[in-house]
Amino acid sequence: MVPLKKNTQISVSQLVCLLLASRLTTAMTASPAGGPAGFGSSMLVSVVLQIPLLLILLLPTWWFSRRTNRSGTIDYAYVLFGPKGGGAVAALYGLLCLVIVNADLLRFQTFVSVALSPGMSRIALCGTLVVGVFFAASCGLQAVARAAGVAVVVVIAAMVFTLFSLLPEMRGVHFLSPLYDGVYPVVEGALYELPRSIEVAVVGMLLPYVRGSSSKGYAVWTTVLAGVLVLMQATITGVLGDFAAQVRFPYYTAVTAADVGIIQRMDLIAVAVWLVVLFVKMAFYSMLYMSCAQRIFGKNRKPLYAVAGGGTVFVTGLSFAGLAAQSEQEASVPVYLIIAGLFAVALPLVLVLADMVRERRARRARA
Amino acid sequence: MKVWAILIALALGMALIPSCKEKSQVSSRVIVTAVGIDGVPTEGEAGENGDVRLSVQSVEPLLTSGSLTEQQDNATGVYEAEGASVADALHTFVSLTGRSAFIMHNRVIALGMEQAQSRTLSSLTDYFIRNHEGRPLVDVVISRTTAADLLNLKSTAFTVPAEQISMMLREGRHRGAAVRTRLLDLERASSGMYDVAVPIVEVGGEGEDQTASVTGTALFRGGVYAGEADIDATRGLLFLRGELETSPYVLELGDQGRITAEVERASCSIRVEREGDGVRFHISVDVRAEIADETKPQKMMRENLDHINTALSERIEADIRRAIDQSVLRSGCDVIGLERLMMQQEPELVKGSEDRWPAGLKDCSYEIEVKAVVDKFGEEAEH
Amino acid sequence: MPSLKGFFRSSGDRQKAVSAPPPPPHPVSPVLMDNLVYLHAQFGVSSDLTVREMEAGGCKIAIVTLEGMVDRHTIADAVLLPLSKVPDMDGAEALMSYVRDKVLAMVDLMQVVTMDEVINLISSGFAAVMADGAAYVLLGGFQNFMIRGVGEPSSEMTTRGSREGFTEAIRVNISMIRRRMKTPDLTFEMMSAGKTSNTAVCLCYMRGRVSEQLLNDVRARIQKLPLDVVLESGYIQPFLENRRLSLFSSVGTTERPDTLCGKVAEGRIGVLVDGTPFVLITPTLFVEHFQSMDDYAIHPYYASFLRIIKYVSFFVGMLLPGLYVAVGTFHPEMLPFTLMLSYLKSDLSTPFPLVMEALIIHFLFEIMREAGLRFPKAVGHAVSIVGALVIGESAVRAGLIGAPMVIIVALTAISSFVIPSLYGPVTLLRFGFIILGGTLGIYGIMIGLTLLLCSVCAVHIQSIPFTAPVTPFSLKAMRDVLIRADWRELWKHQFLVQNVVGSHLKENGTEPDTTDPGEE
Repeated sequence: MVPLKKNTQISVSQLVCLLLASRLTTAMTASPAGGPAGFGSSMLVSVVLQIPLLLILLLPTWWFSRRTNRSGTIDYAYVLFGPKGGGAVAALYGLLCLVIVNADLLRFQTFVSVALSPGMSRIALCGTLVVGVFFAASCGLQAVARAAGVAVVVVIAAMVFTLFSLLPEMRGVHFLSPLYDGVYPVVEGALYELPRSIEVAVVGMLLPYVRGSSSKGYAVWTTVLAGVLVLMQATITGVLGDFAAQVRFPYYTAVTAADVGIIQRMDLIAVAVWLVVLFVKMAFYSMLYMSCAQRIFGKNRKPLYAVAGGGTVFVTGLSFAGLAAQSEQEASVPVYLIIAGLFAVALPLVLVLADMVRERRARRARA
Repeated sequence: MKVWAILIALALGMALIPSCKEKSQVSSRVIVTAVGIDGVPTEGEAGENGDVRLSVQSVEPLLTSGSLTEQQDNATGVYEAEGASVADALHTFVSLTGRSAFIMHNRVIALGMEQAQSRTLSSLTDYFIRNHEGRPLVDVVISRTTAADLLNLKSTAFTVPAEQISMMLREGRHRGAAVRTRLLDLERASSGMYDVAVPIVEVGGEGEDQTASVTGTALFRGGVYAGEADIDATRGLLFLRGELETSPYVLELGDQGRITAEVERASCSIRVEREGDGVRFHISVDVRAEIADETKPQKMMRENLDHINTALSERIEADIRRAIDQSVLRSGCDVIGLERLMMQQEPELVKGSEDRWPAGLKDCSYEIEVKAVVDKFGEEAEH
Repeated sequence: MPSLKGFFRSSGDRQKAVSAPPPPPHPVSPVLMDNLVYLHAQFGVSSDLTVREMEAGGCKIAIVTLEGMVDRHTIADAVLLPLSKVPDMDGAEALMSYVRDKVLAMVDLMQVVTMDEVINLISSGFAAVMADGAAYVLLGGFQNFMIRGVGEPSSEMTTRGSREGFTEAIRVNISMIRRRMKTPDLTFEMMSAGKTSNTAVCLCYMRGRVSEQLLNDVRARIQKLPLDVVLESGYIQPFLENRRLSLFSSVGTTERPDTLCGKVAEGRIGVLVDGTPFVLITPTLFVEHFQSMDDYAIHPYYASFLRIIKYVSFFVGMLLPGLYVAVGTFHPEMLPFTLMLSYLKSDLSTPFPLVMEALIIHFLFEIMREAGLRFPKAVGHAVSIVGALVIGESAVRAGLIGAPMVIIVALTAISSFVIPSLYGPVTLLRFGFIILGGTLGIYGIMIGLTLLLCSVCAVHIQSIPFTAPVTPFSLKAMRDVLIRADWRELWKHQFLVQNVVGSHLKENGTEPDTTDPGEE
């Protein structure tokens, strides 16, 4: 009998869902604090303008993927630099994933246990979330990617429903010309939005596990992302207008104005839906962290990696909660831009250059 | 086996969570349905720094039989508490009742006229905006006398009194008699996009015969009380903001009697035009109305349909002009959002001269064009 | 005959290949007494072993049966009487040839050479004819054991369609399937499971439609069964599944021959087990729990409506008490005002926290359901009445539980009975969600729900994602998932389970060698 093996590749559409789930988590709780002054109509253009910038950011990864016949960055680092160099790259990726999971736990705390339900036990909430996330992560990439498909559909449906229920509260006078304050705020807004798509940093390591055309995937992802972000921004601007710049969580504040009769608090529904994408996002990065750990230390101690990662995230998440107010998180946006640049641009380019050098040496040696 | 051990450990750990040992968090709190804010009459301090007296209208669930239609007489009550601020007064309220206020189902925030005139709106409502339990769709209303008077008003229907106030405002707006302002509108206005108008309710009568009615609209400039618009101006305001749904107009047509035209549909568009150095607002209102009742035979009316249209147009134009006069020209309030419209249509007029607006709106000219068409339904039906 | 004989042999061979040190088969001895001694030694003092020794055709012969398994009158008329009239023969070989050709004129006649096969077959209602001097045994099928008649399936009632349900006898079940699928492609592959019980297991599939890879996998799993005794298909079920921790089974069961025929026609494999009317179907996708035979017999619009009802019921059955507890405990502001007052009134007048109240009352409900199920029908009804009175009336009046909670329990119970195949998982999850809702509110519910989603998405059944075609998504497949399209649409594309989106089951296909970065 031919033993049946699990095929563990995901399709491009599933990758798109994972990336969307990740990005929407950030978008739904994005704060204007520390951002561009014109947080209103200009952002409608900014969120679209960030798309070409995002594609530019993805260009090195795409080039790397074409050149190496869809090798992952970690895999190729092992090939080029040996176990030590490859291990270092894997460790960097693992650390990045843990940082992202940790940032999301902080976001969760700020949003849920501080802003929404301060009476709830923070330890119980965060503990359950972290345990759940790492358990889900241990289910593997396919499981998380499939869950992301459902999560994205649910969250987009909820957004559309919210938009319709908010139509009576939207005012035409809130919309100004996006270029009212000139081009600068628009570009500034796009640059501000860009690092929120931190998922570009991990696309490189995912490539070998994706079936289908990745360039088509990028195109679909960015197009859907632009659509959803415009939808969200239109909701925020239509309901809150310039007031959006003064609130901590503009999208959430806008949703609180929804009146759907039987459900007295539409915002809680929105938060519940947000929690689904947040969970999927955290599970996704936890899974990537665990795969990095497996790559470095071997495959046999998976529960240990989960416990170590989960414990670290839980402890640091709770310890830094007091320090990491939302404004401080948002202030770290430039840091994320640097991280995104490092992993999405510098690393693939370094790998490609190293590959070129190796090839030239090999050619010389043959000659 | 390991999984079962973890599950059992989690279940046992659950016993430590308060919700498994205690009753629901809300059952030990006072269910607030309306909050009234008045000033404390003291000699020393007044105005912005004076103390506030809160009137908290609440429902006791145990007395409601689980349904408002079967509630006992004392199911709703009004507590009073004083403090240096709203938050402080609520703190006093907790000490008095032994229970904290649950404001998530609060329907109305009523402000006493004296408080509304002496304090800024934001200082009175900030607590409800900041508090995570505050809901943005709470009605804000000003009581002509004190907020306590309004909250102590007995309900004539089998609902909590706050529900009645809320319903009165909803219906008032529907009938073109009141603006409806929620906490959300106050929040939006706080960003400086436009000014806010709050309905004024007056309690009349004595004892059991006490009733409440909307008698005008308070106008605020930058959150500070700036004046008042009467009922006709309020209707004009609703036309200008595109919020009017229906409104009756009684038209006296001299020898031809009197008819009541019911506005069925109204749309308003405001165009901003440059006029030399100044600005002209071209306000165009389209109205469809139906004849609700008449005192003369239909044939006569039919012959004078144009006359009716003109009379209705004139009345509506007068209301709109009154609204502009009382809000923009007299009080200097941009409750219509005219500055915002200028930013949309003629941004160059505002850019670089932001300080000029909205005070500069007083110097603008307003051209009003009303096209009212009374439906010929009666005539057609006869044919 | 040779085919059946070969089958049993091959089945035995497979068994040997699996179990560690296979005992050598005991051959039939030419000495009759040796064989009889062997049989007596195997059966010990078992009183149902019946040996009728006699002389026929000049040889000593013995007819061995198990009492109660065979029709004694038929044996007397068709075997013993003709044997007593056999003329003298030239040795045992000639006698056995005569018996085979002239006496035992029946379809299921077998000639075996090992005593193990003899024991297996007489245990299945065969009569063994042994002759002194012959190194083989003739066996004829004279089964006449008592079986339950074909009746209506108890767990899968339908308003339209067949009223026939499987019975405990595997052969009867096979005949019911064959009667509905008159095609030579329909194959019944007999095997045995259970080292001691030697229970007959039959794989039912359609050649040309079933994936070879799938068939080989299922066959291998059954061959490798480590069980000693198999008394019900549920014994085998876990061995056909992939993921141990999953609450939802990816192997379905049915009592209906028409359902099995439908599934087999889609490339699935039915596993019939002797002694139980519940037939296993593998692979079964999650969405199939929401499909029933009725759906395909009634008008598509109504069938689609019923489908939606089932999905809603599933979520109501699983989540409603948890949501009620979460909303009541932490987010009562979500309720409309009057409903909140209702809730608060009941909360204030009952002694337990809401989460405890929910746990206790659901636990009591499960006790009563279990009691009602196991008791005889008449007593079962009494239990239901007592339960309804105790919980529904007295407990509310005594102020022990709130009236809204009784409504919630009733709604939940009714909803969870809509999909009987999911009753178990839904019940367990309900308790989980009550705990989560009571401790962490709606956030706990959502965390639990997403974790459940991830866990269900992780299940594969023979290289097919359990959650297909919802995720991975296939729009075309939605015509029989979210809705039930008209037959004029359904018949256009023949559905085969190996072709479902995300499946790596291909006829003679190979899989790309990749590893999941997160999963081993």
